[in-house]
Amino acid sequence: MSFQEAVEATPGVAGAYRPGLRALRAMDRDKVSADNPRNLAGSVDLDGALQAGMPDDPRWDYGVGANSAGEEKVFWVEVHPATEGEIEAVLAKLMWLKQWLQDSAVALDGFPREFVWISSGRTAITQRSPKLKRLALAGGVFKGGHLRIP
Amino acid sequence: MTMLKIGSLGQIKQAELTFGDLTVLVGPQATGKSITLQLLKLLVDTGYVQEELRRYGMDWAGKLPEFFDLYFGEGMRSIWHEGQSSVTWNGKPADMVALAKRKRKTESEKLFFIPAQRVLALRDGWPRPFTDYAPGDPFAVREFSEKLRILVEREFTVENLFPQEKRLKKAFRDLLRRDVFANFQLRINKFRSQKRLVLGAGANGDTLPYMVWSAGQREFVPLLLGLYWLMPSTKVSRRGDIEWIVIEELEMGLHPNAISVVMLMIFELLQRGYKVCLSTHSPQVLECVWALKQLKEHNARPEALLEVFKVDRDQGLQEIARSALGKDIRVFFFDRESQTTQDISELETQTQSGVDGWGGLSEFSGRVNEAVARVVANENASSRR
Repeated sequence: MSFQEAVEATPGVAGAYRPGLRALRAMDRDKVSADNPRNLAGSVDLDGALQAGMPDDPRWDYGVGANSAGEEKVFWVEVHPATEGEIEAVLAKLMWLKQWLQDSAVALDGFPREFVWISSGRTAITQRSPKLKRLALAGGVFKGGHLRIP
Repeated sequence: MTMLKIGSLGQIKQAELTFGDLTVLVGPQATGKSITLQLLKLLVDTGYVQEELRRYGMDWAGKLPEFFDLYFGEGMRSIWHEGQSSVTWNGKPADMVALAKRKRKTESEKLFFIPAQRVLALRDGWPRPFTDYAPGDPFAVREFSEKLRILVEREFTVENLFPQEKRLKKAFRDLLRRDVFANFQLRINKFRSQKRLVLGAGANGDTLPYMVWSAGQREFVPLLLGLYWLMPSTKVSRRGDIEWIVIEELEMGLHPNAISVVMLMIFELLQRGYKVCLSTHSPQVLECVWALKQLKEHNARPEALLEVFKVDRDQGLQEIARSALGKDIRVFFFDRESQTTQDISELETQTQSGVDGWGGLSEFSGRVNEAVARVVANENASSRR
């Protein structure tokens, strides 16, 4: 099953698939790039698509499918202020995403994946922060102001 | 604003630095950081350097290659490429060939240089005089060593060098006692009529000679003496006409707690009005600089900066912190690949191009986080499919 098919088979986001990076809001689009744009398998705006049905949940922002290193994988991208104080909020969103994938998006849950946090503005956190180690232990990685998909 | 441009000098293809109150140079080994800092000393102190070399009987016959071998050290004539190398100092070309030829009027020293090889300044626990070195040893090492000799021979009339009430703030003395000297005292004593520095424990008179000091203590004592030189015991805030300080790799041999204390002492040097240039391979040093920049940007109070160092909020330290938060800070990366410098003063965690914004110093931490996160994110993959 391709990334597009998996999105279209998932209740709540079935109509939210967009080619390339078009599901990303305009203000976030330049925060993600691909070395070879042809390798992009599309994107989905989780936050926007699920807002009506899950208004109070700590929703994750986007999924971006890509053929990377010979396999189709999903970069789950959260664009969020990057300060030490926001790590708890990002961790809560990550827990929500994992649970949502497991309970409601089985087709998407099976893809190889990376959970990536991108700074929405200036970065005020260092890679040496012990809190980022906590995030890593939950499977999340902070990528600074930009995600480059190889 | 002091500016230095270098073209084709040693490993450097092109470098462009604008110095702040605190300027930090980072980059892999052998990318030209030390050459740049020594060049800075030469440009600031041309007359003084020439006079010192002459005073010790050195003669370079007005020739640049010979002069570079004397000043930068044996074999360093090769860093200058005739017809290609260039130096621009504050917007004006610096004619290095003419600089080696001309006898400059003697001037007082304006830049104090604490070299990376500072551990060589002590032999058998006593500072070596300038003439104790080979003519091919770098000027910066010989000169630093000579300064320490003058300091311990002429300025200390008491036996105890550390702790000393009139030297350093009490807070620094307490921290150094805890984090570097482990309650030992640094003393001058005599062994068969030969003066030497020893570490002494308590009142029973037991002493530890230089050779049994820890590696960190051997590295730190020359640095401490250098800081004594820069922080006179009188009410005068600076020594002589010195305006600039260079400290290479301040972190050498030091535990992270001791690095923190030295960084705080550097903030005091800034408060005293010195311009400070550091080179470092330590992520912790850059983390301190990053914290200072962030706190400054967010108009933090001095107490917030002191919290970084986990020290008491005494008035003296608060004033040091307040002053540090007002300083202009620059950070430059010496890139081995392009052989150029990059201004990374923003200290972004990762740049737009995906490069570590800390000149490689946080790259390893980033990779550790990524490797762990990737495995955790994909564990139990087979059960999910």
